[in-house]
Amino acid sequence: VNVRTASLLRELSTAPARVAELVAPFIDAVVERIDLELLVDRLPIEKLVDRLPIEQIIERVDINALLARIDMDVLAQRVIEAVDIPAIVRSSTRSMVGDGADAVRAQTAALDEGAARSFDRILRRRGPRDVAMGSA
Amino acid sequence: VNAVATDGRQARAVRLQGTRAGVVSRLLAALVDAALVFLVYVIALWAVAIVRALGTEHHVHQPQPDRWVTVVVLVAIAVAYLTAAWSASGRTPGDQLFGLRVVTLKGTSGLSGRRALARGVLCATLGWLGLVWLVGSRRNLALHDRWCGTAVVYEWIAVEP
Repeated sequence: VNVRTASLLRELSTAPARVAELVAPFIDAVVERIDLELLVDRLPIEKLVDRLPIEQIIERVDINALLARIDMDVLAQRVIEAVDIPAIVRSSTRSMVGDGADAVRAQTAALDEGAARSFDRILRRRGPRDVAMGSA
Repeated sequence: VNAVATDGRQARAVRLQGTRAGVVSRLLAALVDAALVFLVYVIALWAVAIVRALGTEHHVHQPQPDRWVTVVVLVAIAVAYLTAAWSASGRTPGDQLFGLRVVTLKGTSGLSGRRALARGVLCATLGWLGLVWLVGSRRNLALHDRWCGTAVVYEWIAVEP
């Protein structure tokens, strides 16, 4: 009797594992069929996020410890390397000084053309002046 | 719209580079150079007056040179100024301001010393007449350009040849 009881008990103790083995394929099949996107769509994510104690989470993060882990020197070096500061200084100063002067030059060149047209009309000439180098 | 307008203006300016300049730019550049030459003359005049007064008991008086001295010294300063600028970079400060450069008719910049001197003498003496000639020239050449084999081109943007 004792022996039979013992073996029965042993079988019973392994029963859950066997059941799980039997059921697992079915569950897998069910999970495979669930449209996860649809599920996610149905979840009230904003409400869930609202519920998260973000303030508390942030309070728990030790920002100083985080910063201590970052090598600031290397970071600064990389930023400076990535940003070509001399080029920025060059281009900004050049455009400040250059734009005004170039605008004046373009303006006087336009006046040159206007004056040439007027004089040529007075002199009863036709066609534009020949101003290209290499043709003189 | 602004960017498009700027691009159009830029394209126009680029097209102008290397073509012979007209009378307005050249006249304005000449006026700037004339003003600079006159400034040098006035400074020189005062320098001479101060140096003269140094060894004496006299005060420094406003210098009043004879008219012929003024003309000769002004022409001499102008010739030196123009010759130096054109043989070196091909542009005087006035040319620089209006984006001009003096080149040979073949287009090479940096005149030889002799050519620069000849052009400097002509400009300092008959400069105005030369520019009047330019007004009627179909090829935008002044009288001194014709005689010296030179031209003045727009050159304020570096354009790849």
